[in-house]
Amino acid sequence: MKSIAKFHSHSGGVLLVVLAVVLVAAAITAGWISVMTAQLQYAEQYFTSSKRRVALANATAMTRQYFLTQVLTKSSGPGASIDLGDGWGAIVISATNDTPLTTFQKAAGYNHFSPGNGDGYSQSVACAISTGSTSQSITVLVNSRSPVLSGIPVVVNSPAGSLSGTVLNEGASLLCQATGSFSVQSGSFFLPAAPSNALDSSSGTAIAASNFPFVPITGSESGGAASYDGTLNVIQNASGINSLSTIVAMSSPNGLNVIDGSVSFNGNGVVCDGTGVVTIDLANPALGNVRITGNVTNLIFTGQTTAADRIIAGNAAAVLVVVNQLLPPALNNIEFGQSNNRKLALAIKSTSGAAAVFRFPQSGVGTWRLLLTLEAVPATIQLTGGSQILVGGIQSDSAIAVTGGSLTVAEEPDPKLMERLAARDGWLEVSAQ
Amino acid sequence: MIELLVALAIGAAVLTAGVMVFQNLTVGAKSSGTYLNVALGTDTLTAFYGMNQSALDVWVAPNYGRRIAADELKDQFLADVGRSTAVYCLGRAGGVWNQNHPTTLSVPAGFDGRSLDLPDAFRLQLEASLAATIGVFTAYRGASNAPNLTIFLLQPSAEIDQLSVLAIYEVDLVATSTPAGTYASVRRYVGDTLTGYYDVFYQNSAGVAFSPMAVCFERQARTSLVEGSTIDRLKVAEERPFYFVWWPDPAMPGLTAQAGGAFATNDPRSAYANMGGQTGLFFVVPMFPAL
Repeated sequence: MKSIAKFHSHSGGVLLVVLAVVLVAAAITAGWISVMTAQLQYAEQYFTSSKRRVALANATAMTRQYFLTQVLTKSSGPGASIDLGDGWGAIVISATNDTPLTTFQKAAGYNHFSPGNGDGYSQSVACAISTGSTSQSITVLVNSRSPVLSGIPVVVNSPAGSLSGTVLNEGASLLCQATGSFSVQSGSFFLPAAPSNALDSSSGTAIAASNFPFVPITGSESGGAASYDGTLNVIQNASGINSLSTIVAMSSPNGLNVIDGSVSFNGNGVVCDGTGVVTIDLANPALGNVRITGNVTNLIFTGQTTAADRIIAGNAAAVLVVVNQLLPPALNNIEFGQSNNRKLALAIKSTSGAAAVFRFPQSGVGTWRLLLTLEAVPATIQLTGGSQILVGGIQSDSAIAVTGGSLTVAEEPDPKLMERLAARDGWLEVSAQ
Repeated sequence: MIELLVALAIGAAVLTAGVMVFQNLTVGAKSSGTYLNVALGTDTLTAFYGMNQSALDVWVAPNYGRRIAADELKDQFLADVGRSTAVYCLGRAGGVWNQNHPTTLSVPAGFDGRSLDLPDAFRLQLEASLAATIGVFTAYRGASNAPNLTIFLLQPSAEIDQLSVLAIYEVDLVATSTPAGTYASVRRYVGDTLTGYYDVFYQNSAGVAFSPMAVCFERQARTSLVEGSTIDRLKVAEERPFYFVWWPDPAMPGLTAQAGGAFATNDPRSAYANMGGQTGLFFVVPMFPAL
């Protein structure tokens, strides 16, 4: 009995030791599991963080796409609520009722790093973005401004824009048409599209395109959708948005003169002889906007002859002349007499493809204040020796050849007074709150 | 006898678990608990933190706690980029600290921000606007191989004749002798206010190159002008120019230069392949984030 009792006592001691060991083992195992759990959570946090950033990028990309296709060239936006699901990004955008390409709203601040060179018009839209675990707000600025008035006096558009002859651009150039020939010397140049030939700087040395991004920009639609291929359709487009034919009727304090070349007209500085010859006197302070609907073959601008007249003209209201001549006869002669300091925007559209000659008959150095927009009008700028200075700019989607002298293009010194007469390009700026 | 076998089996299991936990804890201890008093010099500490002392207690890499601090600053940096209109990475020579943290920069009438299309164009404008920065930053195209980096983040300004600075990040590496190693510091300033930072000390990493800290990729449209492979190899951006940016990683045991691989000189990777594996803090940053 004594040995049995001793055995039982020994067995109880072993059990106590076992229990103690199990207790310690449980504590250590728990600690180990805790460490492993912490490491797993650390990895999981990284995954969550990465996923949130991807979702944010997704949502921002969707927002950009929405505004580029549904808002930028429209008069309203339907709004959108899009969710990629599973926390990979979602957006909620309210409907908008404004036309970004014609709005006169200004942005709250100045973003110097934008295609508009820190100025222009802007529509601000707040959008809610969800990244699954978090939500935040981003602001989309739908901006617009005339590229020619933003420090880019030479703009070459698709499909056939090119420049030949002696052209010196004192500002920057924007070459939306990448495959043409560009003989312009320029301070700098922007190239939204594919690589092109390097241009010469004003000192004659080759320069590379600016590193500043100029995409995506658009000024109009093609087939009902915003066009981002560098084409120009701003004189009379289907939507009527950013269309100079519409703008011309609403932007002059002196009213609008509608001219048909086959009908005689005389008044407010505009004379039409009824046989296709139209003369516009830029020294006449009563001159308002002019819309030419057809049947004009010769368009003659007369400037100012004296320095005093030029000062008076410089203070007079700006003038927009729109020629939308889609049927024969072709407008093939445009003449610029004397010098001009009147703020003049001239836009010519043709579908006949007939070439037009722009004549500057005065010899020596002359100055013309002119913002020229040409659609489907191959042009020859015919100088009479010497050097012609064009203060304003040229935008064209067709070939331009300068003959008989050198053409210097300079920026419009007072772009504010021309902004409402000019067609614009639109672009987006997206920033987080 | 059975109880004894059970006890032995449990004991073996406990010992095994104990060894594994000990290993975990010792590895963890090595990477999370050591700090050293590093002599950095009063000038450096004044420039970095406004501290009037010559040495600083610094956690030694690898250190996961400092990595968490780095991650917080990384999140702040990415948020700042999302609010920026332009980002410029400027290199600085060794031992040159930047103490210029303006909130605005004056620009002349007729200023065209689109002309600041490269970091060096911004550097020249910065020097014109703020004379104290003359000589602080080094000129570069493509890869910035300077040992220190300043990142300017700009935002829309209230005045047409000003640029507005959202924040400035400084990335500095300081070679030390007491003890030998490299002290790394990344800081965020808004004006002269230090709003966030992390730092770490890499033992036995003195003089190891951690560069380039930034590589500027230019637009493909610029390839028409041949400027040599050092520049032309990085003209790859389809539409928008961007940077690669690297920050020192507190979770890495040291600054270890990598072999870099065998890439042709006109291959863009030849500019930065040696940064592979050096850090987990790597960013792709657009130069004009809002566009």
